This record gives sequence, structure tokens and C-alpha cells, in this order.
Amino acid sequence: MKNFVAIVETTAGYFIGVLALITVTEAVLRYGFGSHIPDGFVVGQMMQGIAICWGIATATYADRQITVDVFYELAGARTRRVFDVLAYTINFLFMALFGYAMTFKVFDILRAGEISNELRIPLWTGYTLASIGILAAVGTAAIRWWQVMFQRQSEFSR
Amino acid sequence: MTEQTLVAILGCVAVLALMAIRVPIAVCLGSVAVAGFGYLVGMEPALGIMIDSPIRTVTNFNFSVVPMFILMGGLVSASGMSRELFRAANAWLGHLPGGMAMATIFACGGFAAINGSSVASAATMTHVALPEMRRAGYDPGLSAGVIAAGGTLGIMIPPSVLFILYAILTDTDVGSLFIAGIVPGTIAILLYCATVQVLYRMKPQWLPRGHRSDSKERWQSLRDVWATVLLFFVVMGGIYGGFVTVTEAAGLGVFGAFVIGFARGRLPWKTVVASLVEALRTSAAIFFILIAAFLFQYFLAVTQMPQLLGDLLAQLPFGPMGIMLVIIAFYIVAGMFVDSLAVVLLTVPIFYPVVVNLGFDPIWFGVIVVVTVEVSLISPPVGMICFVMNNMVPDIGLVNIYRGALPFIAADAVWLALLLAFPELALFLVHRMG
Repeated sequence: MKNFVAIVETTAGYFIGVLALITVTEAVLRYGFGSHIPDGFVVGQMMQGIAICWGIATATYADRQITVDVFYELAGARTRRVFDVLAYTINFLFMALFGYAMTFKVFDILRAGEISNELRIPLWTGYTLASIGILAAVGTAAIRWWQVMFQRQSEFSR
Repeated sequence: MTEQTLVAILGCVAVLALMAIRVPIAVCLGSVAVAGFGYLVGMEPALGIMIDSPIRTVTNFNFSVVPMFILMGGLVSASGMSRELFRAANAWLGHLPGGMAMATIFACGGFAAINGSSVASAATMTHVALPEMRRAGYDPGLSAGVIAAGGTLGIMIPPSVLFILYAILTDTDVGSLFIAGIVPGTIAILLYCATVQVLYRMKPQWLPRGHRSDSKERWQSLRDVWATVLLFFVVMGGIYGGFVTVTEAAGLGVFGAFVIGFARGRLPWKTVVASLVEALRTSAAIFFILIAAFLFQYFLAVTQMPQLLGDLLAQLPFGPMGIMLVIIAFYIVAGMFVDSLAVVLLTVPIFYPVVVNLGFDPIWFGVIVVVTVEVSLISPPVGMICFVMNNMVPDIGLVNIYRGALPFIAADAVWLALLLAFPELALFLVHRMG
């Protein structure tokens, strides 16, 4: 699983690099040659969306979401267990709702048949890849919930 | 009390309660927002905002400045520019009383000019400056305190991730915020150096003088900082002069950091990939909170919480500046217990309309918010920078790091007072902007 997460993170990281490359190339083309990358803006948006959604998935698995730890660190073992169970359950439920909403959005765009202006790229492709990232986040949230509930693997015991 | 007010108050309490049990901050905000909005308006509209708002946030090209400035910071950190800055500052200042401490602060300020994160600045400078200060016989707690305080400059001197988030939340111009941070950031450097001088007068054995570099060494050390200067002028010069947009400046910053690091043989591909992954991780965490913060704004809008709070604060018999002091006190106290990023994302949408209605400049308020966050980053019990440093150098001890940072919190208080008394310190460059 850790190798899979590393591969996903590296791929999504490259998307951030491509996003930067598109931005620079757009700026150079616009100011230097009065031109632009066809649909560069749309592709950049998609790259960003896909990278962030997959980043959320891997962050969920690796417990890298930003949390307030002060009370957890002061708590005893039993209280920590209660905190863990509640926190990971709420996290999983919210992610499930998020995944449902993203899937709904993809079908919405698919039905509308939206395409980009210049290269006529179907927009559902990018949105689908992004939503798969969020569905993966639902999966990683479920795995973490299972590990915490039944294997007692909280972040601090892993 | 109306139902909306009650739901708003319960919503805020629920967010804090969920944060306390270590639910991720984004999930706290998002789940309360959807539940509260659903209760007041209906579950179908609540689902509607959940369907539309998050995807708009993650695909908003204007927000690409967040991952790009983070990536730029990662690349410059990996290519060793912080070490060059420290070496140059130390060559010029090291022989003075408390010289190495002042050199650290100047190096932190310089590094902040090409890196937007306070925690990253402090972590980088801990690697670079702390061993040198300890070797020179500096008090370990004070050394850590100097780096912690210097690290806070990362979010004041542009480019700053916190300014970007403030701009996104309030729809303020991020370029103006960046420019507004330059003079206050410079004043902070001078105030921190003044603090070092006061400390030297009190405990000279804590900050022994270093050796005096000859003029050849000094000028040679300056030769190495060209990359930092070049990057800063490309990014901030482009924004200040109105030559490029902030997004384009961020892209140019990434490109410049990559080319400089690569050309100098300091960025092997493995390091570039590690920087990309780190940028992704940090950006994903920030975007997730942003997604939730926007959902929470919908909730706040239907509860009319900002208006209610505005009316409530307006009834206080203190006048606008008194109300501002109440808000600042709230930020500082809240930042002592809750992660400062969460405090900003949770409260700026509430306080911003109030502050603007009171007649304060929104850019100036952004600077004030960042100063209060800087204080909370190094103040107990949840000083994020001190926590990170404690993990890196556990032998110094968290209490000693806090003790070392304490004099600089006093400097921050003076700094805050100056900004409150003279808002033009933050605004005059903005008014001259191209």
C-alpha cells in the first residue's frame, strides 16, 4: 500500500510541475509572442484539480491532514481511543459524502457534454480523474477507519 | 435569540469540539457547514453546495499560486540558498555583539523573500544556523528562540502562503498584500535585531562575538547570494511593477528556482521529485481546508453571523480601534490554543466584513492578522514553530525554546503597536504600486 501511495504522490507531484510549466510557458508566449497554449488554461485547471484530489487521498491514508493535537497529546490512553474512534468515523462519513458529491458532479458534466473551447477536450475526462482521487480518499479513509477500529492503529501507534 | 443565531453559535461550538477530538480541521468545518446549512435551508441545497463548491475550489486557476509558491520554497530550500544567506550575513555581522544571532535573523528575512512558509523557514534555518550558533558558544535556548522568531518572517515577507489564503478568503488582491508585507517585514527584522542587542546588554555570555571576517571574505560571501536577490526581484519586481500577474510570478519563481538550482548542480532529479511531492502534500492539506472554509462561508452567510457579530461589536463602547484591539486579542489568545491556520480560515470570513464596515483597510487588516499569527507561532502552548524545532533538536527542550522566543514576542508587541498607530507603514508601498 505504501508503494502505491508513493507512486500516486509522485505522479500527482509531476502534475504540479506541469502546472508550473504551463503557467510559465503561457506567460512567455503571451508577453513574448502575443500567443498562448491552446486550452492551456483548461489543462492547467485540470492538472491542479487532479493533483489536489489525489493529494487529499494520500494525505488521508498517511494521516497528514491538519489537526489540532494539543488535547490529544494531553489525554490518557483510554480518552485517546475514544477520540480516535470518533475522529476517524466522522472523517470517513464526511469523505463518503464528498465522494458522492464529486461523482454526482462528474455525471452532471458528462450529461451536459461540456468541452474545451480550442482543442474540444471533453471536460468530464479531467473531472473524472479528479473525482476518482476523491473516491480513492473515501477508500483510504475507510482503510484508516478499519485500522483504527479493529487493529487499533492510530497515527501515533503506526 | 433567533434560530439562525442559535444554529450559528452551536455550529462554531461544534467545530471547536470536533477540532478538540482531533478530527481533521477541514472535516470539522465541512461537516458542520453541510449539517448547519442543511438544517436551515434544506438537505438538497446543502448537497448542492457540496457538489459545486469543492470542484470549483480545486480547479480554480487563480489558486494555483498556492502549490507554485510552495514548490518554489521547496526548490530553494533544497538548493542550499539558506546556507549562502547565513554565510553572507554572518560575514558582515558576525563580529558584532550578538552578531551571529542578528545574522540568523537577516538570513531568515532573506530566505523569507523566496519562501512563503514560516515553519519551512524555521526548519531550514535550524539545520543551517543552529549548529553554528551552538559551536560559537551561544545559549541553546536563545539560539532556538532566535531561529523561531526569524522563521516567523516567512509569512510576513512576500511571497507568503498566509497572505495568499487571506486574499482567497476575502477576495483581496494578493499582489497588494505581498507589497504590504515588505515594510512591516523589514521593521520586524530591525526590531528582532534590537531585541538581540538588549539581550546582549543583559547576558553577554549568551551571545559571544564571533570572529571578524576580512573584506575579501565579506565581498565573496555576497557573490553567493545573487540567486536569492535575482529570484526575489523577478517575483516581487514583476508583481510590484505590474509586469506579470501573481500567478505568472509564482510560475516564474518556480522556473527560476529550478533553473538556478539545476545549473549550479544542486538539484538532482531525485531532489526535484521530492520537492514536487512535498509541494503536493502541503497544497493538498491547504486546499482541503480551503474547500471546507468555503463551505463554512455558505453556512455563515445563511446564519448572518458576520452581520450579527458586527452589530454586537459595534455596540461595544470602545470605538473602532478598541474593537480592533478586541479582535487582535481574540486572535492572539485563540492562536495560543488552536492551530493558527485554522484560526485564520475559521475567523477571517467572520471578522473581515466587520472590520471593513468599521472603516479599516482590508489590506492593512491582512497584515495585522499575519502579525498575530506570527505571535501565535512561537507562543506557548501551541507554538507550531517551537513544536517543529523541538522535534528537530529535542535536546534543547520545548520549554527552553519557548523561553528563548519570549523576548521576541515582546518585540512583536511593539511591532503590532507600530502598525496599529501607523497603518501607512503597511500601506504606503501599496499606494505607490504600479
